[in-house]
Amino acid sequence: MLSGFISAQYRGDKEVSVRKIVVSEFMSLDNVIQAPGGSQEDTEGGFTHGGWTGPFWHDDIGAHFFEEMQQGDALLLGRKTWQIHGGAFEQMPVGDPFGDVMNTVRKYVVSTTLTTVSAWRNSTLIHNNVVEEIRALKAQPGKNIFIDGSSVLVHTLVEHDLIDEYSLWVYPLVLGSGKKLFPEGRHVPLRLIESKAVPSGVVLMHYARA
Amino acid sequence: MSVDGAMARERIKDAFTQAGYWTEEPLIKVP
Repeated sequence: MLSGFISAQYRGDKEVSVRKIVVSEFMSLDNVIQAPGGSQEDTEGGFTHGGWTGPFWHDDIGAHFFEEMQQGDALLLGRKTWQIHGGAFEQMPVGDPFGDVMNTVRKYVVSTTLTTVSAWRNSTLIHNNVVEEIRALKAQPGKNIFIDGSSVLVHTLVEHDLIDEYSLWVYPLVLGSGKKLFPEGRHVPLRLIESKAVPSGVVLMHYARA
Repeated sequence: MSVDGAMARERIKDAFTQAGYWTEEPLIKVP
């Protein structure tokens, strides 16, 4: 299990819960997060290795997803990832355990080009003042906010030190190209708070901001 | 093995197949 999804800070004698932004990704050893689930999931930039997580599936990875989602109440996504996820999950029937998790959770999509977010239920558009809007979101009471995929958005949030934790399933392969989790040239000091390996060779590494 | 974990794989596979993202044969093979 992940260690505590809400940390407590003390201001005077009042305990105040702090909502975290947690980046949750499947990534290769060379920092690539593009199209982990399918060959046609995201071919932008001529990426030809989509679906690279498939051969390394282990059921503990799926179980971890449900554990993690119980600790959050919102997804924060870039436009491309929101469209990819929405395209897959919106059509899942009500009552599907996986579909219900993805479809009922509040989604915040960051985009300067979308004009409507009706394609995926329970979505809210963040169109302007992205950093300020996300700071405000983080200040609201609630559980964790999870991000997956969304490389452009993650880079913006890294630049503004808005990411509290990284929950990374690291796969034993080097892809050589593709969208990267960490932006080039950025120093990101981290502190390991949990790690575990599954028999297929994938390692969960869960970091907090150092 | 977790029942939830196995179910997650099947549900993701179904959703990704319907959306046209999934390939039956992974492009990268585990040695």
